[in-house]
Amino acid sequence: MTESHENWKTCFAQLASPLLLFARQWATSHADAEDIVQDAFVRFWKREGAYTEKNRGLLFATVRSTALDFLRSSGRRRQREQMAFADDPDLVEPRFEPDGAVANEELANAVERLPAALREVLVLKIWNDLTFKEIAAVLELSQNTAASRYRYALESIRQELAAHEIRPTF
Amino acid sequence: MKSDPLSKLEAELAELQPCASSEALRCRISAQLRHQAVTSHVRLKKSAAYRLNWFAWGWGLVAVMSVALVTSVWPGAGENETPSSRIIHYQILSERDDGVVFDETGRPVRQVRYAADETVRWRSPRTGASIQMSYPREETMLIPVSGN
Repeated sequence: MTESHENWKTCFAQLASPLLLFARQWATSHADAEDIVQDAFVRFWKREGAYTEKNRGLLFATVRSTALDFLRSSGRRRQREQMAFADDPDLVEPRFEPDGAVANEELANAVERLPAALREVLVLKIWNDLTFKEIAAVLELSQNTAASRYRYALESIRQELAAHEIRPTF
Repeated sequence: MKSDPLSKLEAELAELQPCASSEALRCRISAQLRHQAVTSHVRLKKSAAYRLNWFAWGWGLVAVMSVALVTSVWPGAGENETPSSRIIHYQILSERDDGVVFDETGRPVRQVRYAADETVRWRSPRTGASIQMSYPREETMLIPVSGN
């Protein structure tokens, strides 16, 4: 039990930030994302007892299903989420630590504006280092769909940055 | 040499740092996992068990009354919609290491006592309405000691 307890601490130290970023797909605030990650962590450890390379995808799947439960739990909350995502991105708390660089801010905004289906693949690939096979399992997609959504996400960001002339080289 | 513009973009994206998690989140998860460990794995010595049982029965009764209150206040809440509970605050006030003791089977274990403040929130899955309650908590953990 002690070993498992230490294991969760190591896992949390490594994955908390990217997991929160993943949970933010379904939550407009950092606090809501933390609630999702808390419930998911506890559910995962109750069932698995430890984190290994083999059950890595399961942790993300647990976060996703917990987040979907969270959304279903309140119609009003879901309405707020949809309004925030669809109409006013300024209402959504930032997902990334601000570093003051204008270019990075534009990049972060471009990620915010991605359709949710593309953004979740991007988040799992870039910030959580999941393979397309693992992403496909977490999101219940085919591997090809996961790979093509990833490609579309990058293309969308590239086009948006080019339109804003922040990165003329792309 | 021509570099793939999308690879460059991937590298720039990877430079963005996701917002960090709070210390409070780590404490809340730790408390919930510890609570689970205590209830599922720890066998208390008889004397300690009696003390904890009174404590547990008391808070169990409060919890049952709270759930009953929730189901009466929220129409339809009892129909397959059990309120979900979550520890939203957990602060360890003191920790006392009693050293190595022997459990009922004679196995050496390290006994650690915690006194903490805990806040639990119950939320109705249907309406989103919630109630929360804070109370003091005492836990005794028996951690197996390696014989090496």
